[in-house]
Amino acid sequence: MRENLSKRGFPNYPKGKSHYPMHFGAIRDTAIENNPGLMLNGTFRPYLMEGEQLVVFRRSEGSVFFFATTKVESVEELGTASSPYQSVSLSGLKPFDRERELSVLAGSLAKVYRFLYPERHFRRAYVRLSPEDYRTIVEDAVDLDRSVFRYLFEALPWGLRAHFVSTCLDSDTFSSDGRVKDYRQISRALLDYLDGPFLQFAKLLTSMSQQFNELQGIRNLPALSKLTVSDGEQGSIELGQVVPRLREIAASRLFSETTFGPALIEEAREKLESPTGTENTASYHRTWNETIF
Amino acid sequence: MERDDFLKALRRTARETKARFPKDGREWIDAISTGRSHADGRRILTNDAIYELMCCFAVAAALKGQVQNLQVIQADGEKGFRFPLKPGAKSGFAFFRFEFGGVSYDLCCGTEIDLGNGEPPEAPDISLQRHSQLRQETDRQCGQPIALWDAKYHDGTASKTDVQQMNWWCDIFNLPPCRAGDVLSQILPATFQVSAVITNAPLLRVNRRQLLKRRFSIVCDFSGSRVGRSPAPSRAEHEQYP
Repeated sequence: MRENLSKRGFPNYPKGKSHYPMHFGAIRDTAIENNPGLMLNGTFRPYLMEGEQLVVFRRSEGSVFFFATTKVESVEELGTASSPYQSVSLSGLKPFDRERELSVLAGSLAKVYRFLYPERHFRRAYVRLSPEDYRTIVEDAVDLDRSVFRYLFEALPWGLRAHFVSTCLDSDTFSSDGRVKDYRQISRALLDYLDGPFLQFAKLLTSMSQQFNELQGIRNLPALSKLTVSDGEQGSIELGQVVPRLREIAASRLFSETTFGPALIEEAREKLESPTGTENTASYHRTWNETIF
Repeated sequence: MERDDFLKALRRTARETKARFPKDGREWIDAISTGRSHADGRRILTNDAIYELMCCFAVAAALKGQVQNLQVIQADGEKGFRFPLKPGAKSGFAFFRFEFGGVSYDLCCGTEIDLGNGEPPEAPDISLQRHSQLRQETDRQCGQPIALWDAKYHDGTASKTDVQQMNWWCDIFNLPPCRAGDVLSQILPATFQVSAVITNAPLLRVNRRQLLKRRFSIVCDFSGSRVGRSPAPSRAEHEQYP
């Protein structure tokens, strides 16, 4: 088997095949434990291919950990046309030097689009992967730019996401068909956006609420939650409802230094600017052909 | 922090942040971009508007313990504790009222003051209005402005245009000159003892003589704390100005 892998463990494509010569997937440990002649059936039965490369994962306390690779040695088609199933034989597990955690890799996988809840993509016993995703997991190769961008972008409400995108339209961030050209650029733009207009607004509201607290003791002073601003015609904004939430966000670990260390937004800047790390902290830039939403 | 720890912390914090955002609230989201307008040209909540409210609260807080019967007069309706985003009638918004020297004073934020003589009303950012007598809580008439403050929030530096609005207002309202022992010197700290443009921006150099002539100053670097923030020109300079 070893001779079919590149020196970094990535399978070499067989020569003479025109497209997508191999299949890749992730399989849960519970599906293969005590099941050497793996039997897969059911309505959503995956169709495994002989020679398919698999990464094995386990779930623990809501998290997903990839810990080994294996390969489909042989596949036997059984059952009837209306109720088919496969008997699959796998090679022995090849454990990684250390486990890869999905919450670390989520921003680097095309499979994942629920970036803050990536475990949802790995609920089933078998998950199909693209060759690039397989390689990303095997090589533990995080795309830091995309990860930072996707985690933070996903955290924003739709209105803010749309506004951020509108601030990027004049730059060279997107191609004419709306695809992200370069995550290096857009990840930094998002950090600037959050650190600039957004944080400024949040801090100003916080200062305003601090001044409001100074008013305590004045007769007939309502609670902050009752504070409203209005243009007199088109309705009002319940500012008092927004303030506590933005105050919390401004004071959170994302924007403020805590006992755990500097603000994560500063840490993100530092990480994005530093050169790629050691063997265990590999970072590389995949080519992504995708839109922002 | 190691790469893995960083990414796990970032994801965890991003999840917490997502949960903290209000589910709706288009208005304040729009406000993130300062000065952004709706398609119909109606301006919405801006940093400037919030800064104005903060300055108004700061003046009101400074009055505590210095005046009598300081209270909030709310507007009618369920959302009576409301302040204007754009100039509006005093009857439609909340303001602060207090008593000093046997008469009532109102501290208003962005509400209109009628000028009479068929002139359109003006709505200074913050105005301190003196009544000729004690007023009932239900009486929402405007008093005579004795001090004005114009709040200017900046991302960067202030500019000369910041004083133009105040120049205009001071000209129209003919504010009383600063004199030793006047009401402002008795009820407010040094920061607010002169009508002023209040800004978060660093010191702006403008013609002091013009400011003295118009009877206002500039308070720079103001972010809520009154400590160490003095108007320029100073109160003493205003008192000496003929």
